[in-house]
Amino acid sequence: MFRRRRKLTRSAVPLGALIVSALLVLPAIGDSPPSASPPKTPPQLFAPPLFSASGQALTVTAVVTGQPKAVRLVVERAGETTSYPMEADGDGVYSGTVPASDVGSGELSYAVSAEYDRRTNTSQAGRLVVLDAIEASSPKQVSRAGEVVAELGLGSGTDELGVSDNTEGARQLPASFVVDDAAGVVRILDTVKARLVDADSHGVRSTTKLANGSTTATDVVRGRDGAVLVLDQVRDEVVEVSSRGQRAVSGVGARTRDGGSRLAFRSDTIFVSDAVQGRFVPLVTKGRKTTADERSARSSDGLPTSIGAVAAQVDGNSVLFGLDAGTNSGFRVTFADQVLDAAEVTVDGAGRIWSLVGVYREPNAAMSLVSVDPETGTSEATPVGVSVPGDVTRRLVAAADGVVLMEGTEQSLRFVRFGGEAR
Amino acid sequence: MKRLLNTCIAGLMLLGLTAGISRPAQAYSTTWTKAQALDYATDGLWEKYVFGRAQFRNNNTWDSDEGMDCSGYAAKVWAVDRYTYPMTNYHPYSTSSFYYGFPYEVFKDRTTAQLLNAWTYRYDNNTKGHMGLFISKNADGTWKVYEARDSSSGVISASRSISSLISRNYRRTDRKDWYYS
Repeated sequence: MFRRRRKLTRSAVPLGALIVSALLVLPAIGDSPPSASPPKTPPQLFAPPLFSASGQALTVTAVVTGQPKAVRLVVERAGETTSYPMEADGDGVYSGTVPASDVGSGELSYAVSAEYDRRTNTSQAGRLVVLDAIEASSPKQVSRAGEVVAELGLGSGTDELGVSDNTEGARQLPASFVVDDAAGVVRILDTVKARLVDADSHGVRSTTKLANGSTTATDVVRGRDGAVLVLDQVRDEVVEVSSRGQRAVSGVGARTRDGGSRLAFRSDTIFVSDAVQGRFVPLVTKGRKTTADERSARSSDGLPTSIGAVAAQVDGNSVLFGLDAGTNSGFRVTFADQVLDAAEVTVDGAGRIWSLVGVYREPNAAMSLVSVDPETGTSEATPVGVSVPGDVTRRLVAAADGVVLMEGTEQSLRFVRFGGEAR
Repeated sequence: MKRLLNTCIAGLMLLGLTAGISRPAQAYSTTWTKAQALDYATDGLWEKYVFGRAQFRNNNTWDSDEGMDCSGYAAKVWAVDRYTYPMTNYHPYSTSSFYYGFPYEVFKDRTTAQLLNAWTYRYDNNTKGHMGLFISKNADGTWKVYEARDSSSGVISASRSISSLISRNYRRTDRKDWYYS
């Protein structure tokens, strides 16, 4: 008996130690990285130009990984394709130029193609619109408080808007809202609480639960006859919410588009924004999903997809707004400081362009609400809060005459109306 | 012979304990290129967000056995402190580590970025944090980023305003010795 136990102890101790050692050592050794091969991910266009003036060359920059044999800028105009060599600028950055004589007028699309052994990767297509005319201005600095049209607390109460914190993730706020001028309310997509909240200066007027119970909806826009359209990219569906009920169109092709893509609705067609091309892509038309050809074509139903009705291009100290209103017009607004971004841009019912423009004043950022009047070519800038205390899809929404801006503190969100002054 | 075997086992145990318990904060996979990392980051898109985890199935579906939070995703893409397979759940660092404690490169210029630089901010009295990876710049000055955003959005490609990041006092960092090819 004694001998057997001794035998067991002698063999079990080294064996156990070996197993423990292996368990400790193996995770430290780790998994083996895959062998390097031509990258799968296509070149990434860097600040892809949306607009240019007549007579200007087009310079395109892209980040290309791996070791390409050649990198080319491929330009397509009216079905005809031309390619131009791109040169390495270091750190994976390549640039190429299309001479002004080849840019011409109108519109063209471009992409960057990287050739590797046994593989060619092509970037997402960019789209350039040669503007018919560009008006330049410096914004007149004005200080406006705006009119608070609704203010609601953040929290778990019925009359509060939902907020969700993630210890290792973003704080989620109501993602978006629409302005109902006729009813005198803002209609807020209260994502965390899976509902729409109608609110005015007296507080919550009514709430509508999303029938699918989804807490992943990211945008809302006005639809037909008082309905609103809610985009849910995770579920890949658009839900129409009206007094008649709720109807979902699924599999719309929004699942793998950029998170926080914005919806638009015109003439029975639902569009989603494309940040690279500065345009809107039709998802659903007359209740049916669009075809691939329809998604890549220029729209002819009132929402120009060439420059998305309005789009912004940041360059140094200025922002170039392109507006498609029959002709392609440009408005360059130049600031005293470096412009960081023009994260949101819209056009109100009176035809004014509005944008949230961030500038850099070392070491901080400052935000202005900028308006451009296409009739006079003049612009104004009003200082506003840089950000809301969390992540949202849309802070700026056009109204019939002016805009409503979402502002916020840790405790509440305010919806503030700007504009509406006589011209 | 037996003594030699025991010495080897003791050595292995010591190595295991050293490597497993006191993970070197400066470690990273030296063969891991930006090209490989960008492919890996793209594979992880449209997958599920779960706090404290770092594993995914590359199928654009939220599976019950996967999930990544923001720092888990970033560390996996950067291959710090080492490369792990998609379904290996390994979460070595939090946003606090990326924000405060890393010996990686911290950039002074926060108005621009390079491919796969990390952006990190802390909020709610420094009790919470969020981070992601810069990919490329959009025409309107915002940046295309990849991030494991939250339990509602999952791991997404999105546009982020640099103005907004600066207002949150974000830090831009990078791995050392990292090449594009």
